[in-house]
Amino acid sequence: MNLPRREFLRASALAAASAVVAQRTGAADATTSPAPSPADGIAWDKAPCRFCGTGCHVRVGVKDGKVVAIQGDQLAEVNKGLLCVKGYHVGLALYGKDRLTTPLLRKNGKLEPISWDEALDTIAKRVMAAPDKFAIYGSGQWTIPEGYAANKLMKGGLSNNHIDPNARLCMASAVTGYLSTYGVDEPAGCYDDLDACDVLILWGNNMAEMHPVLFSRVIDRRTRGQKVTLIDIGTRRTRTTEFSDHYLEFKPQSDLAILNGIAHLLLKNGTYDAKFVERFCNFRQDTAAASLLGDAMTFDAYKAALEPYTPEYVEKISGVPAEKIRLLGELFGRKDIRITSVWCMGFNQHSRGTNANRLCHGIHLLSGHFGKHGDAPTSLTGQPSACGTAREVGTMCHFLPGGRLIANAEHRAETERIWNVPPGRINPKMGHHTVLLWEKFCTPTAQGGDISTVWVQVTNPGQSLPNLHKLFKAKRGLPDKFLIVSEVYPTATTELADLVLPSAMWVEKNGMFGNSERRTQQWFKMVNPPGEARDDCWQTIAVARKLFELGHPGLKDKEDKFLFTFKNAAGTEVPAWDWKHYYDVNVDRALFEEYRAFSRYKHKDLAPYDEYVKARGLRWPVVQQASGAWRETKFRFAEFDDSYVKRGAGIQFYHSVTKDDKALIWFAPYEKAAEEPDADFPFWLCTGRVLEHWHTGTMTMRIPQLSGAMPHAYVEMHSADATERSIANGETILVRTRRGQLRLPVWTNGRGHVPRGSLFVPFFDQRLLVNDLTLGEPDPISKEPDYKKCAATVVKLGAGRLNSV
Amino acid sequence: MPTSGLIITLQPGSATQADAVGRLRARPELTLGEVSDRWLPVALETRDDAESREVYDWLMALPGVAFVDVVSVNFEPTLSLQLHPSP
Ligand code: SF4
Repeated sequence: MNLPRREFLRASALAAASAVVAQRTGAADATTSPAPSPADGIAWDKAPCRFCGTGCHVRVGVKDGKVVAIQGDQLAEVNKGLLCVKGYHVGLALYGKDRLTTPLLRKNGKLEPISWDEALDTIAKRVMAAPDKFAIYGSGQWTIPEGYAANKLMKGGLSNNHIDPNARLCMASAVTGYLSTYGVDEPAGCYDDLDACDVLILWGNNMAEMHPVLFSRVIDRRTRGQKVTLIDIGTRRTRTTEFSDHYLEFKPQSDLAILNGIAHLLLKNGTYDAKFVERFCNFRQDTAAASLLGDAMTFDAYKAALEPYTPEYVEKISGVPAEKIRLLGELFGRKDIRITSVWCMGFNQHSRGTNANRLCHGIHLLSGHFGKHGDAPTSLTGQPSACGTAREVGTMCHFLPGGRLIANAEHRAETERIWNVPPGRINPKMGHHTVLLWEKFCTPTAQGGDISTVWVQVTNPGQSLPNLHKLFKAKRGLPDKFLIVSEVYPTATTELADLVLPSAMWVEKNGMFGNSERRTQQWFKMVNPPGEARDDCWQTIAVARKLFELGHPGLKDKEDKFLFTFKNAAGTEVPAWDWKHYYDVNVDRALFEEYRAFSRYKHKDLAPYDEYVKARGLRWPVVQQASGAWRETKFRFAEFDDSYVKRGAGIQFYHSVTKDDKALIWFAPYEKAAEEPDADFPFWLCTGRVLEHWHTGTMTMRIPQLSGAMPHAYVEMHSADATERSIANGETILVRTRRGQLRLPVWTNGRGHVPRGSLFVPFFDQRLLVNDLTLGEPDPISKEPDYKKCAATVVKLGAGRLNSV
Repeated sequence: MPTSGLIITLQPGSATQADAVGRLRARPELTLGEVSDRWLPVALETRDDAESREVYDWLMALPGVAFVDVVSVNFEPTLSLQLHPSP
């Protein structure tokens, strides 16, 4: 590189950093981006980061048709110009050397290149042959229009509800927690609570590594001299622990007891918020068979149920000292502080995940720590559009768009009206949820395996499903099962695919995401995808068109028109199913505007597409003001901010399950995990993520800077457990569960520290699939599997033989 | 040669700050901007990623440095090594 260019890049980097500093100190206007330099040669545009659910905005620099630079977007409220290590390398996710660039069909055991036309024909014929045995498996990485199109194809076109996203594996219990507490999904508060709370409680949430930009936002408050008390409640020490004022280490599964212990103290000490509870809450408990809405219970019965959860009893179950339980009880009992709780997979990937979520909402409601900035229980998501697509668009097997339910006849009728399809088109029977869908796909047809073709988009179930031998790898010996995978890179899933479709990713296509705080975000395509890779949304529409041409009646609306008909500004129909014409019209805008019509029912109002073009995201409900302007909502159900709350109500849970504007405080007992350590398998095994890699690592492992920093998976083990078994740090051992075994290097002094009797293995490494080992016991209500708890043993690899230790 | 824009949050106390800034100035990979409040904008230019990591770790361990945030990365110079084959 020549010298002036180097100097220029150095000056640009310094200018970007200086601009963020100027914004922090108030010396610069936070509403303008640094002006692009004409000498730069780089065109800049905005996009949300491709990776986690934090939803940071990046400025994407494009030169000569390639993404060449990334900056944190100063205009974005989420990240205020900052990014984490993954985010500032996000552009390189596009440029791994092994991008998939052509459709591939398995012939004689080998994936061979074929044309797009042959690929589309192949899919359409499989679907036509058995439309009810076809399933789509997507994710919270689907853009909103992509998920909407897939949902409409399945439910509105094929009358088939076998569509579910991988979000079932990560936030389904958060959904059931919100629904059973407030009658409507997603958090009341938002990230602004992190700026206003006095106490931040991280429930099994390693925010420093998993949502680093949000964590940085909290730490920044401390460097400004503000006092914010951090309480890390977890099963292993992490980077988050290093910054915390209190660390409460609990035995796996016993978070349920801790939550009950807090409620017990609030009642016993009389420090619960009696007025708040009386005005805004009712009480519930589970029925004998777990259910979403349970049975009503009285306040007295609730109190009696909590009676046993004394600090000493909770200590016995959880291992957390009684005085620490009292500390939590006292904090929640104080009216002079604001408390924000956050959680992610710790609560959700839990065999009693719905209950963990319910109980956390419950202690906030019982104590009145709700309804003010900084006083809120808020779940965080792992994927960029788990909220925006999986939850809001309703790509789950029991949902319709906008919070509607398959099981509700009125909801089906309304959806049919918006889709302009004949009454009765939507099948009233719920489809298979993720685990069942894959179980059915991996079961021989003659033995009840009623799913024969699965189309996977934007996810990697061959690595992320639990108990992979049963739920994924068993497909191998079933010749009549057909796996279609739309992907960007070869993955553990494409290894078993019969047909692979090369996909465009991130800024190679238009898109919209919805992050953890109800913020809907938009971006435009900036560069072309490589080779013949094409948008997932186009793939869905093109298959729909093939089905239409083959005469499938479901692909016609009431006027016999194709279900995905688009018109340009002049009103002329554009054949968007033909790739040559896909970008002749903004398909994202058209699909989003259609989808918007669904958003009002649950007060998740979305603004017109063009409002999102101008903004760095808007948090729903986005309500139009008398002036015509669109106003986002930071805190739902609270009169100070939510325009749907009646004047004078203060708080109004307007989707209340009990139809009286009240939320539900649940009682749920502590229950043991489905599989606990025993003599044969004496360790707890927990799985999770690391800072450098995003989920299954298919993108981040192809970024040299990230794979270099964290090149392979490992097993975290306590040094005393290792010493006791003559295992050295770095030594490769065998980790074994009842489902499988895996060779892994031991890390006893890494950045995470497990207690004695526990192991932790990250799941990002395709070569070391920890999900061969996991149990995946599902929550009975949400059907979300538990990835955090199963029993394991370790085996030292001796000279020539395996020694169980 | 990766080039990054960083913000270094300095610990309060003018002597500690001045000492930290002095040490930062001595590193040739770093170009320092103006300290504003307790934040120092910096450009970091390194030979490769290994060196970037090494400098980052050094920064995090430096007395007087409370936190390091990255705000921009230009990978244009290294991109030619990583690009997938052109269509
Ligand atoms: S915190 Fe998440 S959204 Fe933000 S830059 Fe990092 S990976 Fe991207």
